[in-house]
Amino acid sequence: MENFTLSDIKPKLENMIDVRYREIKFGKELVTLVFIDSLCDVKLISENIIAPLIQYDEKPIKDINTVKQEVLLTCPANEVDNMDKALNQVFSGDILIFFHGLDKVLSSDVKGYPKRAIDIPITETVVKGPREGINENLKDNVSAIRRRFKTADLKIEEFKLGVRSQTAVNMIYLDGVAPKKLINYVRDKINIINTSDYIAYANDLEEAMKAKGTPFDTITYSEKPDILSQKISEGRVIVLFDGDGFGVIAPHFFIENFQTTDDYTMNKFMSNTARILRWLSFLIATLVPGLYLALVTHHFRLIPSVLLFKMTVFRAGVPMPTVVELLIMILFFQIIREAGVRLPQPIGPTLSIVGALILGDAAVNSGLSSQVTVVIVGLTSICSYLSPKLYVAIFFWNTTMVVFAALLGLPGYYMGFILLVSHVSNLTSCDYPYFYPLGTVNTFKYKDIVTRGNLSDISEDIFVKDDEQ
Amino acid sequence: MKKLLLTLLIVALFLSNGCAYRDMNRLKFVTMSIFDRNELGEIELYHELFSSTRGQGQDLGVAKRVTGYARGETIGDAYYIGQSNTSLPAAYDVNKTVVFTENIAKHGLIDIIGAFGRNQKPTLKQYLFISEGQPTELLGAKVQDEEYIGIYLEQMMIFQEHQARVISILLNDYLNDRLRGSRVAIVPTVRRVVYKTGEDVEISGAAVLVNDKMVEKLTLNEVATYKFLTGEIKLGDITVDNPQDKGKLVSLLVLKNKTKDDFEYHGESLIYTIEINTVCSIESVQGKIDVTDDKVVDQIKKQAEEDIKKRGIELFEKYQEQGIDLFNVELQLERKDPNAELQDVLKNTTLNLDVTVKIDGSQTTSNSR
Repeated sequence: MENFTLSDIKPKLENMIDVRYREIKFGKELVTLVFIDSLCDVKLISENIIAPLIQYDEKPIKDINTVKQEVLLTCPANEVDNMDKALNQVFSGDILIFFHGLDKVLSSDVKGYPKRAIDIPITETVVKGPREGINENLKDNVSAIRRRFKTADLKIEEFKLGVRSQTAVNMIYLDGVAPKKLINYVRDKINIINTSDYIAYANDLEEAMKAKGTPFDTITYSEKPDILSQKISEGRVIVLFDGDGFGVIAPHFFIENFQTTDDYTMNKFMSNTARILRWLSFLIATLVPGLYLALVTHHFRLIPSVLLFKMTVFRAGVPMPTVVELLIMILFFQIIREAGVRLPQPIGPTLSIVGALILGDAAVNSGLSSQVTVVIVGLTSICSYLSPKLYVAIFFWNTTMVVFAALLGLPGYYMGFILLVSHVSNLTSCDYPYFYPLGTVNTFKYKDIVTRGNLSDISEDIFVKDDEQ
Repeated sequence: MKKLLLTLLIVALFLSNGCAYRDMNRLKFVTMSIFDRNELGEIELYHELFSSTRGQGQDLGVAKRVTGYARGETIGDAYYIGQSNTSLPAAYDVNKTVVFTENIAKHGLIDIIGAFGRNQKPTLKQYLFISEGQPTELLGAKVQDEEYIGIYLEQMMIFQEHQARVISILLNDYLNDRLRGSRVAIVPTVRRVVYKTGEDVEISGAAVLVNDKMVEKLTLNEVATYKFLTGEIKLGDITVDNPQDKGKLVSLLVLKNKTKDDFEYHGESLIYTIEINTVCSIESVQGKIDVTDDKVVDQIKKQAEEDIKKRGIELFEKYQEQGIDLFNVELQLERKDPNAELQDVLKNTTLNLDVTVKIDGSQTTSNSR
């Protein structure tokens, strides 16, 4: 039974220039097609809906099933009996077909709008391995993952977020591999996202799931379907948002900040060397500025005399205390980095030259900083680029440790270090320890920790029954 | 998290009684301190400092060697008076060279050495020296390869310690030696010399300090013998007569030296045995010699063994007569046999040297030194 008519729906679609009404004769009856041309493939409509309807005038139509079975060439073709649902479908790129004589309305998927092609992701470049990246189209993204799993265990649950935007969200996991408590956790978090007035994006879910009050990201993302699929096979849950080119991965652990796709596609020894370098760089970026400050302001005796005297000469013309000098230089580097990220690409190299001149030479010659401080801050910045997802955490914690070291020297520095370790140890990701499997008492299967072993040894799901407790 | 951070900061500040922050360019670093005693009994402190000042033009900073002087009734007095004589505080944190003049060492270091043990700022890894002559002579010496005498002496101890005639002692070791066993410590002596090529500062031997007072002096050869007997020698030479050319000499290069000691305790007497195994090679020969002749090599070997033995026993007995336990026999006996009840250990000790010299055919050295 039809609950709404064309005249009911027309007022709702007023003042929309991209809404199209197309009336055609179908036998003796009038049929009206309603669709939004900016969301639909007009050629598809013409060839698979309009043409068959016009050409079909031989027999009288008895019921709507005949239309579905014998006339329309599109898929699917469903009856619609609710106006809100019908409107939602129109705004999603479906077509509504009003059969006035039969008092029935059919809807069909005729989506067709411009979208970004499958491209090489710029934030996750690889030397060897799949280069495919996801785009902003949910269907394409799901397809990229679905292609990698020929199994009925791959489950895709759909949610609609936002009262007005009705953004489609898909939660993907491997049934029997992903822990149930994890699936429930992510499902609950998706359900509580309140975006009534805003369009929901992946970052809404990330924020809902991330640990609060920390610069460490306890939830991560990827724009590579091979990584997303790999995470699914490990037992994790992936969430894709329509209109967002990133997939949310839950949970995310600290040690994963040092893993890249190349670790698994390149020679094991090369991968491990690179991974150790990443760990080392993280430690340098986080710990060296504080250590430097503690040594040059409190513990001169720990510096070899020859180096100490050289550093003293370098600092002779610097009027500011070392801590101020160090913080200024860290700030300069942050400003240049931020400018580099925001600037259009053609201006980037110019900025690099100006930045290098200011920080490398002019700051020293002007007496704002000493050479050693420039080297320390430069080294810190370069090292922090090796783990881009930890960049904010590194910046926050190395500055904190600089302050601690300035106050108390090495004892303060150690206090800062203990605070850092206890802070990271205290974090959780989807109720799993963020340090997992490091420092956890539960039995774990996660074998890919600091260095990776043979692929055959590490390629399995990472959660065990203990984790369910 | 924020509360925890804030609490920690406040606690840290309270515990540390504020911020003990020092900028390196606002300090003068002491590289050598010399302690002397004047006729009034005051402690005189001379120091050599590294100072950095603002440069002109393109130079951002300039290094400068400065010297300082202060005197006071105690070492503390002298130190604080010295501090008030400079624009920037003098930091003793990195000082590695402490020199006592022969004058103050002979008077005794007991009044000043305690301050070194109690002050936590300077490192305990400072090298100690006794200087011959006036302190200004050493302070004013113009050594060609190093502007700072303190650094020169420190490097000499680090890189030349393996030489037979060079002995070194750290403040840490001295503070131990002065309190244990027979309270004997051996400290190298230095002096300024002028050669044809210019000025130099050289090691002239070693001072023997008993109960913080300099009582005797070891010559360079005695230092080498002492190091032979204590197994500290790594590089050196032994000179013997050329058995095939009268009046000429043969020099042997020490390649390896191992020392093992033992005690034989016979009621009222003690036999202190030192077993020395030395591997040498023929280094230089005056006159003619047939090194392929086993008899000749054997003669050289015997001469070398006798030489080491003679020198060792002479050194031991010289100090035994003076009642100075140079080899810390008392302490070593106590360690090996704590129940030994021997009165006047040093007097009742006889040194038995068992020296074996092996002469190798080549000068292949055992390490890169």
